[in-house]
Amino acid sequence: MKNLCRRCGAELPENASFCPHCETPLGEKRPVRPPHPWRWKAVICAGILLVGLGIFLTWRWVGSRPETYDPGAAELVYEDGGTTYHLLLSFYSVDGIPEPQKEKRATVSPSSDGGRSACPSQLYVYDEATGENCRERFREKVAALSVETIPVGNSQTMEHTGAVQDDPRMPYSLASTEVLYEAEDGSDEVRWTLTMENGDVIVLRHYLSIRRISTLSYQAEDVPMETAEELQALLDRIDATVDDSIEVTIYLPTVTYDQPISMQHPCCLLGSLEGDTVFTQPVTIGDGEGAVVSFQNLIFAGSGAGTGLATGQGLILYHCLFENWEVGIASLDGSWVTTKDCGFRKNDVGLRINTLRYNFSDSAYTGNRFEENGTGIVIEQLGGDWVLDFSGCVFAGNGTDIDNRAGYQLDLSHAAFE
Amino acid sequence: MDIYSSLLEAIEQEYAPVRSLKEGARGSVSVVRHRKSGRRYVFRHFSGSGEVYRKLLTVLCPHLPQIYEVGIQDANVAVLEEYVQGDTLAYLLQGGLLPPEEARRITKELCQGLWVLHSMGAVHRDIKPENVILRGSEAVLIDFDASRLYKDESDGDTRILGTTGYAAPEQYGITQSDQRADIYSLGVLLNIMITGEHPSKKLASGRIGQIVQRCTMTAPKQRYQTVLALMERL
Repeated sequence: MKNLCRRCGAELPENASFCPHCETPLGEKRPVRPPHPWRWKAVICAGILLVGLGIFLTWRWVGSRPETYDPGAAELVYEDGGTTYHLLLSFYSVDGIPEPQKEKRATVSPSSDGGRSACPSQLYVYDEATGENCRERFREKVAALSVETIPVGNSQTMEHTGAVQDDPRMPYSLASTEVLYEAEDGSDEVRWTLTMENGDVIVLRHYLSIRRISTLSYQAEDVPMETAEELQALLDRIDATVDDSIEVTIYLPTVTYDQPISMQHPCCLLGSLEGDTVFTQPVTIGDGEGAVVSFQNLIFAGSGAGTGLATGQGLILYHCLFENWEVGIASLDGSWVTTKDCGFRKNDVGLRINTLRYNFSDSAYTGNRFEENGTGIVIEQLGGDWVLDFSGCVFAGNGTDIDNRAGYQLDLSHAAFE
Repeated sequence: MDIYSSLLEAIEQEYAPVRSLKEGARGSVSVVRHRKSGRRYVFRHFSGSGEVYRKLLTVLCPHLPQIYEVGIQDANVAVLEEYVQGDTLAYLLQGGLLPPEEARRITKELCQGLWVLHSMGAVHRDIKPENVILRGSEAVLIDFDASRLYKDESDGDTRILGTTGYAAPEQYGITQSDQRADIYSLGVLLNIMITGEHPSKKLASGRIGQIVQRCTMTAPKQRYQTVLALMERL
């Protein structure tokens, strides 16, 4: 008989422990911890304690519920009414499938506009026997649900937006909350407490740790970047010598770069405010392992062929112009690209989105102009459950304005089609 | 199709390489990303024994990475394991020494991970700061490529697999290395966390120094005989 994955149905070798296609563990795993090293006195004390505990547990069992379940962890298996539920907390889910997380480490740059950042703490529940998400069924058993953030040591007290039960961005979670934090080092415990209709109390907790990252900036007055060769040499040097955890900003002069440029280390590129900073050949950004960079005030002026900007990293563009390319911007299978107040003119395709990764996401594609392109935007695939907001965008004279072949949710109610 | 070939095919088609961690004559270790979910894994492909990894398939321990799949074909081994996010102890030690209490806690947690290995009859044989990742406040022991199963009757190890300085004398082929070789390396590691030096150069002071000394006795019989005994002293 064929051995099929119980989740995705893929055919697997006999005795497989894991489905590499849909990442489902197939075998049983048992938690293993060493016994405590006993000493004789400890053994005798433990014996007495065990007897006492036995009597106590028997008494509790007779008196039965309610009970408090507090494993001090982000996961718990809970039995009620003949069903075993698997509850877990996560800061990160992909297509509604959460990854249990005891701790998330986030980095924040002090230069990022002084505002607060947010990270969603999400609570999920599954039927342990079938693996099915059973939040609706479980919700009926919950009398009250609350969340709190508790600073560890002298950390900042992070705020949160309360326990939300139907956030459309996390459609499979039992509840979620946004944890809000400043650019300061520290860690907070995010503690969820569920009071059940039968009187049981369940406590789950996980931690959000913030590290403020260092920044480094390069100015045209200090470092040569007047030609494409000089800029490429600078980017190569940064890639070879600057630690990945450091955020780099490069202030570009008024210049036209006429050779292709490629970037590995995540760098923010800011165009000149006194004149134009222009790229006439393709710019490529490599896989940045979760880094997000921003480009501002840049002009990508092509000659009808190639891709103006191809990125494998999270990217936000402000006030950039893409003109006369085969493809203006292409998001590779790396991360989300968002454009704000940008222009796309006379490209075969203005913006091409083709990624399932979204460790970073920003759904506000506001204030862009798409003019005289073959196709303004192509959305081939995109992960997550957001609604892309095109408020203030103008689409004029394109062959096709939006080719949404991924069927992603779009809000075009505040966009203009001329 | 067997697990080895099936895993290799899936890695090729459905996982994107992120970065190489180790490349050598015995094989390679790299971080890969599931193209659809974006989740990261460590993928090992080497020639040697995969028995230790295979035994870890059914085990969950907070101080060891989860092993998801192991494929063995002849002497070739392919392993897909959890990508443990965090800084290595080596990286943290670049920033300075650790307070004795912190070093003691990390060592105790490593003892817990080692207990799992030792209770399966395996020896890690490569305990060093680069192979310890701090995931939040938890120490996780990684890299079992140098591990082997300990057999009472077998001859002494002949291949040098550990890292010089952390490896116990018997690992260089004097006698067979058993779990007490790991206790030696753990003693060196504990000392380095506190003093920055090998115990032969500068021994930690006080009670921890005594523990390090006992861990690093040349004769394995004079060391703590099990990690449980070491945990008790810690």
